[in-house]
Amino acid sequence: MASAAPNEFDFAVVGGGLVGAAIAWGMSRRGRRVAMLDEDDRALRASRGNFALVWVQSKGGGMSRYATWTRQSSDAWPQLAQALRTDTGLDVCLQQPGGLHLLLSQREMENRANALKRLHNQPDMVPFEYHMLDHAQVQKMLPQIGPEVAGASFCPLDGHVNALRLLRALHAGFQRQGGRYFPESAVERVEPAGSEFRVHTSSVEIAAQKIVLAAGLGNARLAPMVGLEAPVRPQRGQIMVTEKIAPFMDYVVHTIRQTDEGSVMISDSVEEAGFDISVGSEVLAVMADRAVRMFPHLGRLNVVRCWAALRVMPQDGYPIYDQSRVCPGAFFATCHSGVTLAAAHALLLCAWSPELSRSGPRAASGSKR
Amino acid sequence: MVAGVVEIRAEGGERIEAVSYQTARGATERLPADMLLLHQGVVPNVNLAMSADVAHRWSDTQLCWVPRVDGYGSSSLPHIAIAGDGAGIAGAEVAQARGHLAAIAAVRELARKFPLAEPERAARRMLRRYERGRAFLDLLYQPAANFRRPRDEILVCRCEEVTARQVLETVALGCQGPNQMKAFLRCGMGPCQGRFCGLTVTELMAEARALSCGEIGYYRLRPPVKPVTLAEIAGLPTNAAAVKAVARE
Repeated sequence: MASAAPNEFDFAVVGGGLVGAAIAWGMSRRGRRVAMLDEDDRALRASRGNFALVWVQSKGGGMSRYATWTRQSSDAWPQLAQALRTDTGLDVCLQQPGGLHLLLSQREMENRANALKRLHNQPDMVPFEYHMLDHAQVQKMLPQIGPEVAGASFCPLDGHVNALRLLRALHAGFQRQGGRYFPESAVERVEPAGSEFRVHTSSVEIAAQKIVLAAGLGNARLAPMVGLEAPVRPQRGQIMVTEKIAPFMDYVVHTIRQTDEGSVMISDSVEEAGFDISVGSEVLAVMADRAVRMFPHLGRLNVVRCWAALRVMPQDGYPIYDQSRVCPGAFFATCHSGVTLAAAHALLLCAWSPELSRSGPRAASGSKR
Repeated sequence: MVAGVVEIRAEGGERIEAVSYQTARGATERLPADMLLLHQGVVPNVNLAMSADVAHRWSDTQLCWVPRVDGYGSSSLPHIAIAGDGAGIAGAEVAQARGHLAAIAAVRELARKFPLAEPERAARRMLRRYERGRAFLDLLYQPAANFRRPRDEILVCRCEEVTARQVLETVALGCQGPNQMKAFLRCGMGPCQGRFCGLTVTELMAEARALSCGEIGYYRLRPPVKPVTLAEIAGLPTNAAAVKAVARE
């Protein structure tokens, strides 16, 4: 074991976003001495720009284990929210009332129904409840929909949280559990040294028995240092947020949600644009148009901010969890659903692997590729 | 007329009833009042220039961000020039001279055959005349530190009702600058997009971290610079690629 020297740890977690913070929180909760290494204030952060859904209904097409992993995380989410509230006093406002994916034409209806059918027809798929609803059925749930809404897919498992408060709560909880946070410490080099790793950052040098790379897009640069590969690329998503209004939605809509604070967020875009985080009015116009066709009363709301953030998109779209064969003790975690999978990362991942945790049974990994 | 006020407090319940204040000599006075107007000076509105990614620097005399511009108002980005108080507070006459110089540079870029030497000389004369004494005024009218860096339960962000104490707590949690802090508290995320709280936040964090304001930095600013309705955005021109990026079928 590492000595009690100030910069020696059981684990170094590289990345202070939702994936890194969830893993660091989970491991410090299990009594490990953990360092979380983070970049600076203006770093690219998917965790500050995301849409905050805890979303089940459409995850896992092409890989049923991903659907299962998503479902397990969604099921574990109330436990995470409760633990964070107890530890930090922060309410991450988890709500899982069920979610609708609104569709604006018969063609969109057919495509959606087929995609969900294909998802559920996969081998080893653990089925879950979902329904295709017509306009009248949707209107009963969301009275303010516009006449162009053809219908929706509905899944009672879907929900959302306050993702910014989640990030803060994980950081606060991690430090309360004794974890050490190193901001402005971009990792420059990871050096396997005997049974440990020396991590050279822009500010400090630390030593750790094990290292977890959870640096989002930064993993592409870091993984080769410990004999791993990280096929991730940036995928731009644009979001608009409106002024606050009185609550009007009893459910979450895939592309439109009302936050606990009252503002309405609209997010609906996928673009391959490299590391460019500029917003484009053409895409915003299409998003706004669809949102107003879904809920006409939103048209009069002021938009106070638009932004673009970069999803951390693995090549095939599925999360990756791996351990280096060349440098055992070096792990790697990446996904583009840091909110949905936060509970899995904080509560399940750390418990599953005896490599990652002293306690906890080894379960059949539903996540490992 | 009361000079040398170091503390001021609006008192009342539903509405203001009195103003109490303390002077540098330590005496506390209380005046009945039904209106209180506060003014600590003017600063450039940087939201448009910053959201376009124009480089800015911190002014230690005017205690605010100013865009980096050359002698013709040209910014760090091609085709963006900034004249007037948006390029740093200097008053109406200087704004006019700066406007002339920016226009001269623009004309020269379009058509080099216009030397415009005489109009430039005139503008520079005007600039010199009205910039005289600016450094003195900047120092004389600097707002006092305790009005720029409030304490404890005083609201820093009116839109989201965030206090000075809360901002400083995020520094203790490891927030290095306004952007991570904003994510943790929503400070600066309301309708004004940081116009009211931005400078206060930079100064508070700089003091807490013993760094310069320039090192702390500022909020990452994004469009729209002024709120517009969702219906107005829906009416903007679009194209096939944008439709494909959104309506995935």
